Amino acid sequence: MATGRTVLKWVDFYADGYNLTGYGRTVGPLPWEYEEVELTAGMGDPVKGYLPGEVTIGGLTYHAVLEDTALVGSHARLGNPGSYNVVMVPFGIRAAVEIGDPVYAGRFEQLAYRVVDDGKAVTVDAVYGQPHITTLLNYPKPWGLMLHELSAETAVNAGTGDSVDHGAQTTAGGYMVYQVFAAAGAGTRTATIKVQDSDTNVDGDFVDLPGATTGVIDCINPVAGIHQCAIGETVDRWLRWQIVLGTATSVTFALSFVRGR
Amino acid sequence: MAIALGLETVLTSIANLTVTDVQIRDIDEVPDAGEFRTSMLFPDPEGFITAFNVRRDSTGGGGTALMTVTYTLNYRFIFVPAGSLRNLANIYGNLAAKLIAIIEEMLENDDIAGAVDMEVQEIPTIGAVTDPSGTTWHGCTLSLRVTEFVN
Repeated sequence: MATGRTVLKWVDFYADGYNLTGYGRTVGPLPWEYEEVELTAGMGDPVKGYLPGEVTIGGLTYHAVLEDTALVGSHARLGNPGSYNVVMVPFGIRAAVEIGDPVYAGRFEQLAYRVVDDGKAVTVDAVYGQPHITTLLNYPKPWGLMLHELSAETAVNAGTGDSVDHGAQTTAGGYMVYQVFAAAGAGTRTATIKVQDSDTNVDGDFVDLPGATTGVIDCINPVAGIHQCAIGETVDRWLRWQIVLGTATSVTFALSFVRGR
Repeated sequence: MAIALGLETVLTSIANLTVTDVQIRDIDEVPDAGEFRTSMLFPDPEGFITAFNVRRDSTGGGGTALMTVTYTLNYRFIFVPAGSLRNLANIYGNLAAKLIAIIEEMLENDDIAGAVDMEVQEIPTIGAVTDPSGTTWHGCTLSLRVTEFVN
């Protein structure tokens, strides 16, 4: 994982288990804002402040090239406004996205799909609004770190190289966001994807983080989701991805985690 | 903070790219003349770097500010000496194939060491080009647009 600045070509865009990166031109803004409020104080002086906890996350536009390949093209994936999508926007730092890179994620309602003429390519705007109203997160924070870049795994994570140092333990829970893009195996290709934590970067010390698991899911079709820890859950300093293969023999997925604060 | 441009590294990175049967030369390997039976891509001695631009991305004086540096690197590709072969159609067919291979290699390696991005900007001339000695070759000129982060 590199640190520092980056350029747009290394920004990915995943939605509901589909990697739309190759079609994208720009994405943003990626808002994380607190509502401003005006109150009148006793002396009649205007007082301005913000509403703690009343966060606004979302409202983003994915500007992409129109491409109509069945199922996986930008037209097939984005041309269905009025639906909710689990979106991940990871930022590779001067290189392809890898673990430890920053990621903006959430479940947002796609409000519009517009064809935009830029004079050359036929492009589209996919406009996303606020997070899903019935599955609002307990955490007013959209930015996390990648625990697993988009790639395939065929075995459990038993190493220490695929872990992310978050600097310190926290006691404010958090949530994981995952995208499963493809899988091989038998039947419905089941697997469990989860987050493990540890106070040291030693393989045997990592244990499952309560709440941060998909449970057994079918990976035969692309799927994405969000799973939250309990508020106040202790999350140790080191985090890593973990997978338990069921009938799947290989799962291609991306995983991120957002620490509560 | 000492400013460090990656230009030299970029030039070496380009020279280290691989195209079958084409020598790609570094800035300290510009030939005095073309070599018969050797296709060569080398820094253009006449205007090697053009459109050099520095943009400050942040506040800060001297070497502190974050900056984006962009510049165009101009190369010449010499394929065969003009008049060395009779069949012009055959020459141009092979020249085009070699040029395509060069472009593909450049496009595939857009994050070479020393730069954050490299794009093939344009090929302003395909046809008669000269080597540094003034001999005319079949070849082309090629421009690469490079982006660097400084600090």
